[in-house]
Amino acid sequence: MEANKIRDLLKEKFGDAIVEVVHDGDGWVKVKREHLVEIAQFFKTDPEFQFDLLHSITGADLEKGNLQCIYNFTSTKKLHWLCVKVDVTNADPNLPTLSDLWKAADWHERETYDLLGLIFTGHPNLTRILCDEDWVGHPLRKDYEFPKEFRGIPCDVIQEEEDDIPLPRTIKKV
Amino acid sequence: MQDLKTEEMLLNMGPQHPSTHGVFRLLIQTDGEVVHHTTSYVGYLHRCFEKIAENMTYLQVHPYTDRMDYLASMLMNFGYALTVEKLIEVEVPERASYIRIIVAELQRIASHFLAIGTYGLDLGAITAFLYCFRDREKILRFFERLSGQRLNYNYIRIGGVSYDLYPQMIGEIRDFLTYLKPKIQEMNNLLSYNGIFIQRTANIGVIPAEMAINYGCTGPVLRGSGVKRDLRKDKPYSIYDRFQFDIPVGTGEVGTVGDCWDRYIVRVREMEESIKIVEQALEQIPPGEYLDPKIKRVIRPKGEVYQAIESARGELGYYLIANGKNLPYRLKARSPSFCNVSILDAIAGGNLVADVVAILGSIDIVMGEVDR
Repeated sequence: MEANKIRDLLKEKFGDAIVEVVHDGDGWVKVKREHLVEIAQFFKTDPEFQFDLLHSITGADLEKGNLQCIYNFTSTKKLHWLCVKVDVTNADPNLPTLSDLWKAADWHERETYDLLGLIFTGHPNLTRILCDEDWVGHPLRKDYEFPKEFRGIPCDVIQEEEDDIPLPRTIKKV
Repeated sequence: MQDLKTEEMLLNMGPQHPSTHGVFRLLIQTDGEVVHHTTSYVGYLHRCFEKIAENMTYLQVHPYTDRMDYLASMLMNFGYALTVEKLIEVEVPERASYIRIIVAELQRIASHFLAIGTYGLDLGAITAFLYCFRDREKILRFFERLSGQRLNYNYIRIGGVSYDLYPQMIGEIRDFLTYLKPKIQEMNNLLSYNGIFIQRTANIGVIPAEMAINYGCTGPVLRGSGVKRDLRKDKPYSIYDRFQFDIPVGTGEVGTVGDCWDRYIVRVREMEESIKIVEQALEQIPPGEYLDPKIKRVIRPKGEVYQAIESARGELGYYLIANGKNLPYRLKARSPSFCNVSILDAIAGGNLVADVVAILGSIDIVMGEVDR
């Protein structure tokens, strides 16, 4: 099925639960977090859609306290793709888990929790997967501070000259 | 004699281990021979490529993509270049597209050689390892003459490739392919239909198709379970729709559909299909530019895009959020090995410890890609 048609059909069926539908480029469907599991259940089992492969779960830190969780689904039988987004905030980063429907969500949600700080309620084992268990902070957040030491080992490089470029070095954004 | 009571012990198939294909920790609960439960721990090679990519320009991110799956670097570069090209105005020249396909398919052959060779080594067949590495070295020699590197090439760039093929390359590749076809036959005689190899791999680690799809497995792991799905045919990217090739799937020839042998033979047959693609590309390659002459040095794309390609281990996807600046805002790499290895905990129970090694080898992971 055409990507635009999938998004329009979902909007028709779920009305208000779908906050935004974008057709430019690859396009996406933005969903309210309370209705995420219900909509996901629908397009997993409905014979027209059959999105049985969860390709990836990732997140992004849109500044000013907004976080976003991005899901990419695909169908091995119908060969179409769908991108679903959910907006959450820094103050309340909770989302329902999809690991009951797709087992692939298990490790992807752990990674998103580890690197970005989104908390998936109902997940069987929400622990850090890539960083160490006692790591502090969520690295992919834009306001993440690099640690000065880790378990007693100093992390910052000693600056030797006074007119050195301050660390961490970043390329100037133009 | 009363039954001996055996307690469970926790064995660490630790981060340093010759058979875990990298720094991968597997905590095995076993009663001595049969594994009851495994828990996998990843993250020992985590370098946070995604955070680094937010501080580098689009061109500077290229070498980092090589080092994720360091055994199939051309394919990692290819995926990233295609992702960014979706967002900017660029016209990849014909010749560059053909060079990309030739190089990507040769890289797939080299990666599968390594997978097969180390799989044989894990199971004790040392000769297969040496044969596979001999042939892989010949491919790596082409790449070294082409790009200067044996392993992390940084060759496929946004807008084309970074150097043109050197003058004798097409003839040399043709000779190499003629040399290679009987070598794959030799591999079949040596390893694939070897009685001991079949005893070690048939009916072990069976992954049913529905379970593989639910866990997000793609690539030879999914095709070994009988699901005929390959991004080069389902959603052709670049110029793959100009070539004729088949997609091998596992059929349970010597055991059950979806066992270790099926995943292994899918890789062997994929090498033969890649040879066909390279031959067709060498016939059709036109003269011309190797890099878009109008591409700017500093690119500032805007938009959000997700592009997936068929890498040697599965579907590699890049999700890019670009906001018009010269640095990416968010770049996520969806690595196939990360999803493939998550199935290990579900299928390893009930096997012998030696079978766990066989299952892990047949899934074929690269820790650089799992951890990024």
